Amino acid sequence: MFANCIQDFRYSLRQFRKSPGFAFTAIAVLALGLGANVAVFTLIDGILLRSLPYAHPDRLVAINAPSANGFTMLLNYSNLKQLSDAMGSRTQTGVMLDQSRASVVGPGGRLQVEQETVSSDLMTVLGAQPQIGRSFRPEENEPGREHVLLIGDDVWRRLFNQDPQVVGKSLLVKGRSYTIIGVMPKEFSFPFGGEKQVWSPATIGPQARSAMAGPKQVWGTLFARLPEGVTAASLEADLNRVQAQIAKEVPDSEIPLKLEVTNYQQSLNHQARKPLLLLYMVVFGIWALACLNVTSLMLVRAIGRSREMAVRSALGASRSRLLQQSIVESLLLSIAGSVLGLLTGQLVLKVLWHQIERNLPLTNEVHLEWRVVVSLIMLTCITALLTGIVPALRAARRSVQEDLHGVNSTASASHTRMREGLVIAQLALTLVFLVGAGLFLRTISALRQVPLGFGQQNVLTGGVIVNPTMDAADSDEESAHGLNLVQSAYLPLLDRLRAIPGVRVAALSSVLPMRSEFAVSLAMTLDHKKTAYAQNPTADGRLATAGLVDALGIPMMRGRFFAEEDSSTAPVVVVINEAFANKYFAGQNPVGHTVSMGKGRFADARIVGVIANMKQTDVTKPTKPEMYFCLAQIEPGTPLYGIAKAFMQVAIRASVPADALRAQFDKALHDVAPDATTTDVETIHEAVEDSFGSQTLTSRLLEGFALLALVIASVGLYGLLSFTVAQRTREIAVRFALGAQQASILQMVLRRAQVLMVAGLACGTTLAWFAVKLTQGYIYGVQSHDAATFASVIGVLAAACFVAAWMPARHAAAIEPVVALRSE
Amino acid sequence: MSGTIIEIENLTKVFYTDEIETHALSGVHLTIDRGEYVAMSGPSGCGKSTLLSIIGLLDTPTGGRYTLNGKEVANLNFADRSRIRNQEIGFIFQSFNLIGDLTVAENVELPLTYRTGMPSSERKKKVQESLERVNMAHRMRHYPAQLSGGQQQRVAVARALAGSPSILLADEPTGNLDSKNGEAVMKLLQELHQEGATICMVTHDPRFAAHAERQIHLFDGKVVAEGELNQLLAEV
Ligand SMILES: Nc1ncnc2c1ncn2[C@@H]1O[C@H](COP(=O)(O)OP(=O)(O)O)[C@@H](O)[C@H]1O
Ligand SMILES: [Mg+2]
Repeated sequence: MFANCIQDFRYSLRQFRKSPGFAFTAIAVLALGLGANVAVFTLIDGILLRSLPYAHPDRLVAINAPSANGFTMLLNYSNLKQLSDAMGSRTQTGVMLDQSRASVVGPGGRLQVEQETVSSDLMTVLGAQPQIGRSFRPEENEPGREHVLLIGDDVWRRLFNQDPQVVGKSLLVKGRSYTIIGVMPKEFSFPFGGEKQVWSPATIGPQARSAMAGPKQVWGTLFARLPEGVTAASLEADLNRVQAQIAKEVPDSEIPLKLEVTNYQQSLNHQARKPLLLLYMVVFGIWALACLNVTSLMLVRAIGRSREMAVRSALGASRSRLLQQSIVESLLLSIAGSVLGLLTGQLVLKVLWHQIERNLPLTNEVHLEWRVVVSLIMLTCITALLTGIVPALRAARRSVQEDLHGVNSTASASHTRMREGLVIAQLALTLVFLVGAGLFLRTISALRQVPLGFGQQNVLTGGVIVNPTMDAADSDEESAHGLNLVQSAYLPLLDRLRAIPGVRVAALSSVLPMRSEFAVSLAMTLDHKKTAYAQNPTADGRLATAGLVDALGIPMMRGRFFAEEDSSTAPVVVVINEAFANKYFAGQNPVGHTVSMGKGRFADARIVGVIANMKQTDVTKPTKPEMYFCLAQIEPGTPLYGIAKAFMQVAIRASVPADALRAQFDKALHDVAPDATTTDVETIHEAVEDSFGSQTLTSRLLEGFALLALVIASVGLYGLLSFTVAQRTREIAVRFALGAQQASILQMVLRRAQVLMVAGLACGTTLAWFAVKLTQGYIYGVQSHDAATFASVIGVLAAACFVAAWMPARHAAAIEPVVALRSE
Repeated sequence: MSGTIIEIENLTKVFYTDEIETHALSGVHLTIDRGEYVAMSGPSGCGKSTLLSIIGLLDTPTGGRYTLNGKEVANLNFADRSRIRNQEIGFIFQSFNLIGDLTVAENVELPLTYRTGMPSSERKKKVQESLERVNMAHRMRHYPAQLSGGQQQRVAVARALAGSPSILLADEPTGNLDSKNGEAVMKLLQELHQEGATICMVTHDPRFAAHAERQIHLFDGKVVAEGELNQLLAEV
């Protein structure tokens, strides 16, 4: 048996060497089919299937409070503590409070790290132990004791060059000195998938412990480990009951009522589930197409070699032996295809990485893993069986007698029908892919045509985190020190940016269009009209400096935008957008009206201008009301100073291509704030393109797959027709002998192609009609049953069929009539 | 209705393959008159099929003259050759060459469908007539695979007759048949000849060659006299 196999392998290799065209085509088609699967399966493995690096990750749950508009609200620590107490001592819990970036310096140089502030028991819930040093102690959340730090393995390597003596050393994070107590293991991260993380205990004083309202609250997310016998659903029911009780006891509270308990992993990847499954269906289709194609190629060879097979079986080779030979052959092809496919798949991921990273969660954890390889091996074997068995069975079924005599030279009709069926199926699948790609192309072009309300030429944007040397919690302390980030960092930064040669306008804003934003909802009163809290006008609160409208090219509808004279001593001014004006000042001129927020100067802010609407984060959504405050008028203690301190964004309009300014932007920033970090420095055009997000990714993938399918199906049709022509050479010669003209033979072949094509298009259109349901929710600006898309896709496929059919038809017409006389 | 149908002078055919020249025909002279029944014989590889394919306009000669029905046809283009073949020539092949996916009737009709402007009713009539002529009309709707070899060859003869050609060309028409069926086909050809058909048949079976009224011997690409042939064969 084994010796047989070796012999079969050798024989197959010899066969491939004899017909390299066949081997090349089959391997290439399989590589594409398997490669697409590898690419998507790598994503699915990394994002959906990986088990998290915690003890019993399936029992780890996150407790979230979903809000009506799809966001997750944080709960205050006091609330979390009560919930945690209600769960009893059997359930371990921990809290994650804050997450921020910081630029730190160590022996290994400067590194941008992510600081997670947590409750001291969190590591216990995760079941994680440091590889060096110790974990947090319970008392380390108390003010004064919290300056201890656990660092991630990558931070240890890069910042401390893997110094084994790192425990006990200190590290300055945002101006505070922390003592390093331990290094977490290499695979550990929390929140999962983060990089360059450090963990420190949150400062939770007695007031924070009990505050259910007011400025002393601290906020967080609760994590718990389910004990034996408790399910997420039962915990959720319990917690919701407890939460209702808590809410009753706190009068006038704004605490969320609805809690959700989800497996931690699911909470991370649930939004990726649907797109990944859609993608998987697509690549499954591609794989099926590749199998159909290779099966038909193998069938051709089986028929071409049927006489040889007949001789072998006349010589006593058993049917199973012949089957084995065929499967060995398809296995060899599949193995070569899967090796090539593995490379192709990784290449595809590399090429599309930018889009993938932007649109799918947990992408840090996407690597080629053994699970992917194992599944590829399985798929390869299935492929080999599918593509090898059918041709072998078909060949074995042919009568030995007939083949040895070779009298009846016309091909067996059942063979031809089977191959025609395979080609029709290929064309049908291809049509489905083409329709999908067509719909997404239309979507992207529809998205690009949405008027944005701002200019895209030569504008560079970037996020700025100044990393002030003081912690966010101590704003009192800060004002006491007289430190004002606006005056000390932002306004000087603006001056420097404006001085860069080629910069026409530079401006700062807390939110720039199409970039990730901190949405801050403001409630206010207009013209001092008292209304119930719930009926107060609300708007997205934003900060901006003079020049923003010029940098982004936003038209002014009324009044003016901020100017240099709007300083910290001048009367407070605000600018609203059209959406705000339409909603709250319908039919009036808003300029001159007053807006009140809180007390003092901000109780009497005057509207000085109305800007045109611009798209916010999603071009498909209508613009919400916005209200801008002037950054220069913000200082510690005024509303929105918290935003300014956390995050600002820069918009620079230049007379040179915006890309060229990145380096100068970086330099200007570090001149005014050496510890500052930047996020997503990109042109506004890139930001817009990125905002199309999953549509771009899906569109790219579908376009690629559709093109692939088109090539595979065309090759399939071409192969079938070439084979048929080769098989019918004699018949065609006889037709010539009987007086056929070349044109009529050409027509005969093309008509065959036409019949196959019409059948393929009909099946494909029907299939696509139902398959487009999958695209609902993904496409925009086009109906899923868009007639123009269907029509043009049918046109494209028909044209490809014609091209694929033309060559075999020409070959047929060039057959010499004299062949009719030759005896075989 | 007599006269010369085929007039061949100094016909040569050279095949070039892999830098080897094969002189398949080297100076053939041949005349066939209307109503004649000519049998061509000679050893294997002497050029019989090559000569027949040139007579049947399946191939073009390398040199020499060929006049068919008074018209010079040696150097016509593909389309003209097809047209003339369709009207003037009827082929009968050794391996019948019926088309497997077509019924008997469709096979016989095939050469007529390549003729422009013949109405369907007339085609049907001709198909019926020629099938009746070979006694196969009752098998009209059958497929070739459902017939015996002898029956298939009779259908092939009907197909050759359907277009009322000037001459029937047959290349070893009995080569794939057993002797009984072979005899029957020979008898059919003889009858057709008696009814006035002009036939040129290649055979190396002397018994069948004897059916013809004139025998031509080919040797090494040349037509030789019978006596000469025996002498040449004796020399080999
Ligand atoms: N297409 C061709 N290419 C090259 N040589 C050929 C071709 N057809 C025939 N021949 C050669 O021409 C000679 C005559 O062949 P053919 O006419 O088939 O002989 P016959 O029919 O008498 O057996 C042979 O030597 C044959 O090998
Ligand atoms: Mg011959």
